[in-house]
Amino acid sequence: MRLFRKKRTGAEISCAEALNCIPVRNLQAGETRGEAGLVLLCYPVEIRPWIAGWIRRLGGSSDGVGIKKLQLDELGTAVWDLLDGKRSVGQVIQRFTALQRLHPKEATVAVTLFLRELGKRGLIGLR
Amino acid sequence: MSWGEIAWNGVRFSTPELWEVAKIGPRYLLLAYQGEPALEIKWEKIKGRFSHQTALKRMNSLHKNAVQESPLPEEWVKVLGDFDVMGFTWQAAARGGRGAILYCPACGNAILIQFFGNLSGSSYKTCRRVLASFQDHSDDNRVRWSLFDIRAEIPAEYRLLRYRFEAGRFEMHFGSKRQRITLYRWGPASALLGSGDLFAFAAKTIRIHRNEWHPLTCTGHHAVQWEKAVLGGLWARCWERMIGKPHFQWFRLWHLVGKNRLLGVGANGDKTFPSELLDSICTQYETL
Repeated sequence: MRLFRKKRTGAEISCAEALNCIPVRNLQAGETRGEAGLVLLCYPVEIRPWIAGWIRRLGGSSDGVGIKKLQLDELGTAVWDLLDGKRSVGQVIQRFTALQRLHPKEATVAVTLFLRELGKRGLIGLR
Repeated sequence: MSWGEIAWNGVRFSTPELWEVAKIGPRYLLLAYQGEPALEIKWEKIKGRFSHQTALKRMNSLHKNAVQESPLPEEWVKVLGDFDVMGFTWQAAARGGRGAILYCPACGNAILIQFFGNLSGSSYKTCRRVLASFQDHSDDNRVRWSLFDIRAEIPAEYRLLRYRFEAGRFEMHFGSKRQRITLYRWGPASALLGSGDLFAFAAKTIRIHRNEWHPLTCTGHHAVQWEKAVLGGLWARCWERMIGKPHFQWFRLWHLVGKNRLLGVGANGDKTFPSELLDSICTQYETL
């Protein structure tokens, strides 16, 4: 079964190194705030060429780029607001722990999972 | 350096607060410091005789003969006076460690406790303090549970059935025969309650209509409680048992405003729980 295992690409970094990285927002991501102050993120995603082809054939206009939306809850908004391009992941966690009065380990898990999700969607990058 | 207590499934000890719990099993704990393993503890109840040599042989077969018997420092032996002790060391390519196999003649527990890394003067003292605080049984009939930011005491007859520690939600389920007790911890309360109140949260989380909860005060905090016991005769009770519904169900949730947490205790079973027992569990259940 080793043949079918996904190959790991790129160098792995340690936990300490990961916490020192600085998360930076994607400049192409749009941000709107609702009445409750919750953030709605809009971000471009590339449409697969064959899907774009079908859209064109069906009469739609597709330049190969679509817009996706992500509604953040109160905690997601709090973390998003902490991403100023200066604070490291560790500092974001510390600030979030203090703001929400959470256990540090719990805040670490929650924030890192959230940042990973944002990274997967291309909403942030790590510097 | 500040220290905190960890209590899990019968064992209790103190560690520096910077040592974080990295892995949990029903009878297993791994603590890490800055992402690297620092302390590992395994324990098991032994039926019959226990041999340190056999335990060491088993460890050696698992670790390719890397483990060696080695005398423990005098100070360590002194603080582990209640146990039958055998020391060991091991060395692998990247790291090494030192530990002890303990046997408690009073309760029949065999414990493997080991510290990772090359121990220097200050870490020897730290390890000594950890070992000095180590207990594997309590004299009263209650078991303390203290992990992350929660602490509770549960009667010893209630065994740990399952647990879940997720960001925002902790659950620990205990059982004795057909009686069940569950501890909950949610956080951060400000986000979970939102614009609603504790009734709305209880109704949504436990799935019991908000009108069925009644307010009360628990340990000085605003709380809500729900209780249901099957009334009626033998037939009604038999019917409930046939459809798998417990005879008695009870929940209490309370809001610790200062800590921004919500705590909850649930109980269900074929017999009604004494209210003193449930009250004492709630009183001793706290967030640190």
